[in-house]
Amino acid sequence: MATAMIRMDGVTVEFNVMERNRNRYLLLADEDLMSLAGSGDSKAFAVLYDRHGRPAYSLAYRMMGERQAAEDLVQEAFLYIWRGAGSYRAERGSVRTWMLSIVHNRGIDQLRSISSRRRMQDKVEAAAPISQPSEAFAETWRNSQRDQVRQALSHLPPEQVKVLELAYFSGYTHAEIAKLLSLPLGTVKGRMRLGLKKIREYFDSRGMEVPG
Amino acid sequence: MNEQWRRRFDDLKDAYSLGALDDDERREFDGYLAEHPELQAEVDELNSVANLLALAPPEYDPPPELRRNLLQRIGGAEEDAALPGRAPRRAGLRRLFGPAGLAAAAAILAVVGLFIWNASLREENEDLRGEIETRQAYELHGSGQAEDVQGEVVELGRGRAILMAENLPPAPDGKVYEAWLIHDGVPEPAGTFHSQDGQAATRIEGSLEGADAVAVTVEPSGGSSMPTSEPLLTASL
Repeated sequence: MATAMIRMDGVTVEFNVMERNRNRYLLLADEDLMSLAGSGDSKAFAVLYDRHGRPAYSLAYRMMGERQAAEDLVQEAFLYIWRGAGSYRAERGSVRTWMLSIVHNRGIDQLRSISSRRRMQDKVEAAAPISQPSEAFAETWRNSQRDQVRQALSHLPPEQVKVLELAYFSGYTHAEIAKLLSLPLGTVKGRMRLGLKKIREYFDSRGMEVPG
Repeated sequence: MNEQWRRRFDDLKDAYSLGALDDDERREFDGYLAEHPELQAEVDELNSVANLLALAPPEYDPPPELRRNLLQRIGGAEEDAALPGRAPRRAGLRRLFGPAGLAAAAAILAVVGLFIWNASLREENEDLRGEIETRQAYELHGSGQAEDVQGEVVELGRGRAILMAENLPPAPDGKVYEAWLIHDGVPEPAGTFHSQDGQAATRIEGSLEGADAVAVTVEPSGGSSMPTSEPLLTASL
């Protein structure tokens, strides 16, 4: 069993607990792992990555549209999370929500700084006829928050889903979406408002709490 | 509240939660929110709904090299990382003592002088010591059937702590392990937990500040308000 010890000015601290079987980390809650990561425990951070790397990468891939950019985004976001782990406050929401919001915010920053080439691609997609909710929301699985979210979105009118997608995943502002879809800005705002409201109502109607 | 501003708030709040305001609008909204903290809860609730969208995309496994690269970047190559410690600071020390770092340090010394360098090192030392001290671990001692248990209570700072143990047999049927914070000989319940495959890890409920010891007993399922058995594990704080 590996142990480590640091001596400085007469202060000696053993870190043997940090070098033990990784299995014990798997028993800890995200918030506790975040506290450990915040004080520099890379193994706790690795466990957090193993728990949330997949949804983070999936979100990044959905936003960036290609693998390398998604990897770069996830790496940048998780480095930010590592450096800022000590600033995480559980009262502001779950660890997963916090992590995904960092991926999302950084993804939006990147999307807004890239050339118009990718944006034109989106424009073509956005202009395509809308008859069904996008593939992203087609699959319905049970017994998971992810499935519930997908179910909620599958109940929305496609035009509301499209506006939410362009805003959340593609990083467009509401004014840009209005221009892209040739809609009045008020209509775009209305679809955003109704879309979010219906997601909320979906959860409320099933007695489910919207996770923080 | 100014009605015109309230209308503006309502007009922008959904786009704000979706990240769909332009920079000027976002600054305007943030400024308004700062002046009206009573609206924060409304915004938080909208954010929580908008954040659900992050879970909607089809799932893909990230490539293994992403994990490897990430852990290397933070100084914890592979999952069995070396010494814990804040990567940026340790990287700073490595830079200082590495070949390239030495050259750089020599150049810096020539300019700013030994005194400043010493002061800087001392400050870094203090920071590191502060971090280390917030990670103080207290060894758990087992007795009876828990004699072979190895474990620690690890203090995370601000009184928060976790208890980690190994070689801990499962609690008997209908029983759980319960942690206690001991103040002047008086135990306070600090949470129940189980052992899985000989491993246990749980958060200590309550603050370590002012406590003399942490103890673990076997209690009826659901836990007890006062211990009903002798301590199996103890850690003096």
